[in-house]
Amino acid sequence: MMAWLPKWRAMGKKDLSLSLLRVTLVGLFVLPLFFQGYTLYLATEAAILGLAAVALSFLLGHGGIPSLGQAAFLGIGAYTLGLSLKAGLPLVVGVILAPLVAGLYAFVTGLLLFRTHGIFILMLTLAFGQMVYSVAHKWAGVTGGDDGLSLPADILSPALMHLASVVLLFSMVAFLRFLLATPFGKTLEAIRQNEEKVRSLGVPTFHFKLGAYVLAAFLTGLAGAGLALHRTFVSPHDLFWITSATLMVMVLLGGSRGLFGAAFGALLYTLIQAWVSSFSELWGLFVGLLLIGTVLFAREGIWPLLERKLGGNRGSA
Amino acid sequence: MEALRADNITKAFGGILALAGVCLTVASGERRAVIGPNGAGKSTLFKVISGELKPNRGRVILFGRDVTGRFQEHVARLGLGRTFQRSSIFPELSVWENVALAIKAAQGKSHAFAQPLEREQAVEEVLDQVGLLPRASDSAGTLSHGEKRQLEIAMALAQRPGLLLLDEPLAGLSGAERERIGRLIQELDPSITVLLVEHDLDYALSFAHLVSVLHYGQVVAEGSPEEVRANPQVQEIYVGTDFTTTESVRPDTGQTVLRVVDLSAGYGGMRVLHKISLEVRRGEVVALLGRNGMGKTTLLSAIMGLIPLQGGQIHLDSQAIHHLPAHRRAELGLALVPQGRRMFEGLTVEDELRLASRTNHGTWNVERILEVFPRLAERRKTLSRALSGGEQQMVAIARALLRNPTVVLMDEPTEGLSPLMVRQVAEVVRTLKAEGETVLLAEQNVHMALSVADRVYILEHGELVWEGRPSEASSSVLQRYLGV
Amino acid sequence: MALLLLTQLLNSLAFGMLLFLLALGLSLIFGVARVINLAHGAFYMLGAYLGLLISTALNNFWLSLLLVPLCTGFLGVLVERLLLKGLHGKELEQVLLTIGLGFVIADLLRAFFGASIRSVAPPPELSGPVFLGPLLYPKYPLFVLALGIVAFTVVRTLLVKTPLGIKVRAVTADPSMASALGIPPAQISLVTFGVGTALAGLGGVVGAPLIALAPGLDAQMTLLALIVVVIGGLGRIEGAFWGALLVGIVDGFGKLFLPQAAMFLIFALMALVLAFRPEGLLGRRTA
Repeated sequence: MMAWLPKWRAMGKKDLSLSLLRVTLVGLFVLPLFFQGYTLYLATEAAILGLAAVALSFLLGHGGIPSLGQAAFLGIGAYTLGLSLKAGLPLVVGVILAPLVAGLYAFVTGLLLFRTHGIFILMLTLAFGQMVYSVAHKWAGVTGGDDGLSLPADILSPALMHLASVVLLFSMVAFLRFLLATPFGKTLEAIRQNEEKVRSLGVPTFHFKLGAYVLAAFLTGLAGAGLALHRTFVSPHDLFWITSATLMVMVLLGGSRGLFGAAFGALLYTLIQAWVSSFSELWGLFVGLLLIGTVLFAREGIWPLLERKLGGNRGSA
Repeated sequence: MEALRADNITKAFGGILALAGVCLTVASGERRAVIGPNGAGKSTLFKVISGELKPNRGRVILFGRDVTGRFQEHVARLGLGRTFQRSSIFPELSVWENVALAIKAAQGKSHAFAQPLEREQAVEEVLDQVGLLPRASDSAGTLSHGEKRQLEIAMALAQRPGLLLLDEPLAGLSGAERERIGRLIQELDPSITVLLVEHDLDYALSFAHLVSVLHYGQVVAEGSPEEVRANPQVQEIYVGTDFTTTESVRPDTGQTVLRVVDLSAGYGGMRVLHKISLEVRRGEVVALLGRNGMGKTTLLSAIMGLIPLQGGQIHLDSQAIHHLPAHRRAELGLALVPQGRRMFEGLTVEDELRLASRTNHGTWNVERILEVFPRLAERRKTLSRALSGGEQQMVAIARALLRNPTVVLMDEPTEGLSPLMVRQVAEVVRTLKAEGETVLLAEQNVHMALSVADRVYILEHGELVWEGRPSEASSSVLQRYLGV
Repeated sequence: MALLLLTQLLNSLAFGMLLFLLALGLSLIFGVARVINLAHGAFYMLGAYLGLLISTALNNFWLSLLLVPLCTGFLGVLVERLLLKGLHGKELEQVLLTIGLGFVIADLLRAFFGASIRSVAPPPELSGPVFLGPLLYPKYPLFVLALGIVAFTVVRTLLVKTPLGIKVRAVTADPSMASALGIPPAQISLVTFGVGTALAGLGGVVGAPLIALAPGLDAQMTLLALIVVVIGGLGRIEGAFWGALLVGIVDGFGKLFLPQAAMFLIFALMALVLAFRPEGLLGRRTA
């Protein structure tokens, strides 16, 4: 980390604009602290989902692993926290357990998952996600089934919740960026670009992919716990594959290769959804059109478009 | 000690036996070239040695350890480095990062998390050795084809391998780049054992201490380069058995039906064909000769429209077709008998024939085909994939004929066939010629091609180097361009 | 007890046949046009609602059975031509675009028809029970069962015997060789895509009396179709047929004996097939 300090000084104009853009994003997230009520609620939601989106962006954009099952980890995290609170365990324990359980599920399913490639990974993650959904939905005795799970409200004040979410979000972005500069991260990128070659260099790519998958699940589980705390309610519906698709949309909006971009994507999506919902029932229509439009015209995502316009060619994580 | 011992390696894919008991022993520090015609099994052998494929039978022993069937990464860790036929690098990382990664990979996992990837001295040394130091900070995707090869070799060297597998390192390179890579390989540390597969036979034979010749999945000859060159059996494998060359008495006043002008084509960044110009006249059989890897299949694929042109024009019956998609070219009168036959999965012989036939004013229809190829009539309800190689070749030829085409493009119809079937294919081509069909035939079996052709073109390294009648093709010409 | 089992069996088979109609379209679209169509369930829902509209407006079930597939088929052709054309080979993009398309269709339907649950009655000719020996069983599921079998036979015959069918199979197997024989792969893909979405629409019309219409139906049906296609093998219609029957039976009997675990079992089956036999229980390896 210390090696980066001199870099700040050596930065040219392009890099400065890039950093300015990122600082603005952080600012956008922090700003709602000065508001109350619904705006704050919405911003916190964006920050929490942002963490899940950043994890997916890391997994997809850098690891090359297309997962349509991230909602499972979100849900596992949420239910773990909810159930541990219900069981009387202190908050801290729940917050620690949530990502651990999510990571465990990722590990077990990952062992099967990485036997396949490409489109089959997409479908297999979908299947694994739906397995969790069906458990949440049917095991009503434990999860409350369709009725969901209620959490006590006001464990943390909204302001504190928001601050914690934002800090967590951007510290995880920083952590992942650091990780991507290490040999582990570079190897992951290399695997995405040319897995065969990496294996011929003597690297067991299976372990790396599994590691990235578990890490992403860990972070998503943490986000899930946050979501449960924030909404004070967990429902199986949150685990349906549509939620995984929604995370994909956020990543796409942000540009699948960018971690900051994913956070931006989460913010943008949450805002659009809220705004459209306020005057119409048809937010699905808007999101769908946005998705189609982005795939066709702005495939790299909207964030890299901004990055490029303001920062020259150095758009990256 | 032995660097590598391959013991009776057998590998089959479905019904095809790619390797039929290959035995190979390479001493430490030795430089071995493995040569052989297309389909001989060279790529498969490399894949089995490196762990990409598991053999059905046999063992691979690397520096005294049995590595049969182990994963690639495991074999690599035991001292095996490898370059790939199509340049295999990490395009989004910079050049130095590619090498640094290779070094880190060789070191093992212990340093994976601690520091960001650094451009250490070891990286600089390797890059200097291959001559890529000036481009170290550039993104690897921006390198030229030859430079990517240099990078690949750098990455392989960074692993400090005991045994290096070089898979057609000169493929797709020409001129200065070719020389540079060639020299780079010659100047490799003599302590590294090298196993080389190359179609550039001159280079392979000048590089190697020993040469192994692979044919139909077996080692059929082995010895010093001089011994192999002088071996008549090896010459036969490459140049083919003697056929009676029947001089064509056709006057060459036929009108030109296919004209290719300055055609260039390749794959990805690779340029395989350089400004090829040729023509085919009505009723002619024109043979396209050249050793494997020289571009024959690429040329036919480009004419058919299966790969895009990087330059040049194609005219069929005076109509420009180079902008058209393949199916339009087929409609206008081109037909292809593809390399490897390419039967459709799930279709019967009858399905294949009906699929291809079109009712225009031609002489070929399904009934006639079944008369000319009685074997197919017997097998009409059989799945086309279940036929023998020779029968599949008949189906492939029949498919092309049923299009009642202006020109038939035949891509290596004798590949992988037994000598008997090769004669039969030659008979078929002669029959077509008698019927007045126009054929552009790409062949590796020189004498078979010479026995049916009216004119001959020879391709070398993607350029046309000779043109003339079969009778003009003296043995010195053949030896130079096609022999070993 | 035996009667109960028999009833459940017939229910399962009928449901299976409905799934088959859906999965058939998806399988064809993947096998030939090589597109992962995650909007398939939305086409089903569109078909169901259109069927409802036409049935109430014209009071004729059979007419909707004819018209609706034409509509959804036509829409499919438009989608392929306008939206999917440039995404050939880019699987993730296809997935995302079709997800977006599904959202759009589903929401438009919700806007137009409302969010309340709509049940559709079978046409008078097909309502009411019939005696099968000692068993009293409603006519309509039997109709669906028969329709599924007819559809399977018809499609299979078309694929195996007709020139178009052979072309479709050739393009599925080796599109570039097919084009070298004069077959335009883009056109074949287009036609197949249209047929696929037409079948989805047909499924919707036929399925409406069996499964109530409500928001979220599209996501459910897409999922079920995907499961069947995965289990049966991508691009294989025999696979879609037997896979659909298998899923129908597991679902039906699962609900009866292990109601909690039925859904889980189906997804677990899908996951196992994907992990160990990605080409499906019947299919061959694709790519």
